[in-house]
Amino acid sequence: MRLSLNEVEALARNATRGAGYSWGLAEDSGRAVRWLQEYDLEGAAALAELLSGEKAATPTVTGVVWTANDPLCPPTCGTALYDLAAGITDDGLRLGPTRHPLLLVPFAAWTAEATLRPLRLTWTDADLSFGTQGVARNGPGLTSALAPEVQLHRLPESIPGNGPTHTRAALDFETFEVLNRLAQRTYAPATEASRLAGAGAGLTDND
Amino acid sequence: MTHPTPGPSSPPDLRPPQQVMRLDRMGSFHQSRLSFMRILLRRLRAERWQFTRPVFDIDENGVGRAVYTARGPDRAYSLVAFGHDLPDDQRSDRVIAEAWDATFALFDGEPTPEDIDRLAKNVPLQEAGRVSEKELSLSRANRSVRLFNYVVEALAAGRQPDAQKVQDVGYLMRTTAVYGSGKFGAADRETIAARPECAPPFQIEMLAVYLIRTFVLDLVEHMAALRAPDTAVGLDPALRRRFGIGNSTGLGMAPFLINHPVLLNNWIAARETALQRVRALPSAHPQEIATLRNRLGRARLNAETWHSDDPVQTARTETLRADLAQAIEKLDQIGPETPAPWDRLYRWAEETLSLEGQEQIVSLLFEPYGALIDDLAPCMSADEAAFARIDGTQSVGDLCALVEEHYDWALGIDWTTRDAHARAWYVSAEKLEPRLGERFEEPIEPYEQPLGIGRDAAALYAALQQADFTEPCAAFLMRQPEHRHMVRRVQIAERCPYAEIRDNTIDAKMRPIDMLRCKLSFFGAGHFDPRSDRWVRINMFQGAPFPHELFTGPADDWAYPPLATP
Repeated sequence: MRLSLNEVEALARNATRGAGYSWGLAEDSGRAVRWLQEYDLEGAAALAELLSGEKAATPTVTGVVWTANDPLCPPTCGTALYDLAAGITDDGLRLGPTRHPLLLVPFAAWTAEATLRPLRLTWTDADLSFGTQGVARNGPGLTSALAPEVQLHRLPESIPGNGPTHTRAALDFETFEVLNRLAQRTYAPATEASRLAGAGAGLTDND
Repeated sequence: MTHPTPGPSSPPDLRPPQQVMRLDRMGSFHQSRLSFMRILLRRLRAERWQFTRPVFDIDENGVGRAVYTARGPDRAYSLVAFGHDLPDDQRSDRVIAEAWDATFALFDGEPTPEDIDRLAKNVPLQEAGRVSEKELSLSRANRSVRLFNYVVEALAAGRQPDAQKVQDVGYLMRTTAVYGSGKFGAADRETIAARPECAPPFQIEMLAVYLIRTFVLDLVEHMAALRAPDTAVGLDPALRRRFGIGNSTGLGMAPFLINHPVLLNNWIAARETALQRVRALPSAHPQEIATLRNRLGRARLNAETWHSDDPVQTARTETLRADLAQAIEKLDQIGPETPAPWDRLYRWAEETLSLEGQEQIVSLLFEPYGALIDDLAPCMSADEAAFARIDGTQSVGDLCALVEEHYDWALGIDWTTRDAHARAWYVSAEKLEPRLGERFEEPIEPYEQPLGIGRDAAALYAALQQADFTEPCAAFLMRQPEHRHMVRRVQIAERCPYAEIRDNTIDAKMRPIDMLRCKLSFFGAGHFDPRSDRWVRINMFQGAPFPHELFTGPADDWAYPPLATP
């Protein structure tokens, strides 16, 4: 399925909300998936797997270490680190086990942009850098379902990378189905009464 | 001017959001020079866009296909139109309709026959089909049962249709949705936003409607000619221009204003800035006063001919007529020697006239001053992504202060009363149609959309009061993510003074139509005809020149009816 970026963002947002996240987090999750798809990274697939898996945890923050009893939730951690942005020191951040760390990536990119300080995000078999020269990515582990640890470091300077390359999001059918089913939870079932009262004129509109 | 005249004693401020961002005032806005339709037509004329009709394959029932191409200095856009034979009992303006009299796509460039065949399979299905990145907009329109056949028959018989009947309806077809930006597979707005012609808002959608109007008028003349080739005539040019494209606007537009606070801010800020600039003028040239007098007279004529079945609108229009009569007299007191004439006129209007009258005066004040304010058009777009970031380092205490400053109106409401939160906005599973429901009467609360900003502001404030004022709000948000949406809005409100509607959007008595009218006035719509508190008929491009007459006649002088009857 080929979706426009606006469609994939809306789908991701509504699916995140349908899975029980707050609207605010859902908005950021939608934007994050859109960003990933623009950069030809499988954000929608990662979100679909995250949302259909076990519930992921909110971190307890101890200085620069973020942990929990269960694997961490990437949109929760991503938004939190982006919220802090300028508050991130040279010591960086260390996250404990994290589900689908790919979903952290846009937040790290935006943090680098907002603070004008290049950043590096790493986990097992994955290495990404963000700065004024685009995003550099390496390693086969980008789409891991679980990383034992994720590290965020400051970089002394930007590393050459790439900008966004895609204006469409190609989703496989299963990813679309999972996200769509979750998004449907945010829509009220249609009833005759709501059809008549909810939006406007009656059922025929000859004028 | 040879001698300088003193300006207003104190230069006028921008009107504050507390005054402007109220639903009753926003629901009284009128079209102006800064409306998107007028911005478009000024560009088409100034850049001498060329229009052709490479395909027109329509039968005597209006069934077939057509292509209209608009070519600008850098690129072309084409309307691909499909005419259908819709039985009367299937005609519906609702989002949930499944068939229409005509369906359209705006193509980015010039379509090949293969493109047209592809579109023929999808465009008539509308939401049930898919379009591609080569398409920028998807829309559909239904015939006016009152007027369409009547006009075809009159022209076929060699007669012009009766001008009063034309005036009463104002359109042959009305669009019931104009989708853009990524919907159903179309190109995202971001991919075309850098094009100069796409810089002001909704230019693609306005171009689509302009070309649809062109098609519809060609269509009736063509059907008449096929029906009676020996006797059929075309429409008289002045009468032809009296047909706009109607639109049937429902609730879908209302959430838009709330969901795009930065964009709304930029529209309002441009309008308010224009007002401030005109009010700051130390004096007016005789020609400028004459232009205003002309437009004021035509606005009064517009109000005379503005009819609606809605009793609330009817009462407001009657008051508007009286307001404009007074304004005409007031304008007689203004001459080239009058210091700060427009500030005086505006202040008088604010003290004396109804909201409809005041906001009509605001729009009218722009008319003589294109050179002073038209440059505000590109400022009306927004880079909303640039405002998505939450500054989590801001302290809870500072955030509290912002809520007190920008949402004082919300903090003053007793949210525990039933009326204060009687409504809930939701999206129906049926074609994803936005709806407004009664919270206590329908099982919709679990599906509530975050459009009750006042209530959310009050809830955020209460939660912040319980937190440590020195902690960064990022920590607060990690504990209470349900307030994330509202925190973002509060920080936007600090940077964008006109971002927020300062009224309770879930109140028992809230009229969604006020939001619809606000957005539609920015589009350039006229003749608002409410059909309920959440459904309105409007007219677009009524009076505008057609492509073949764009370069003749005065520039941008079509939005008010002409004084001399054709």
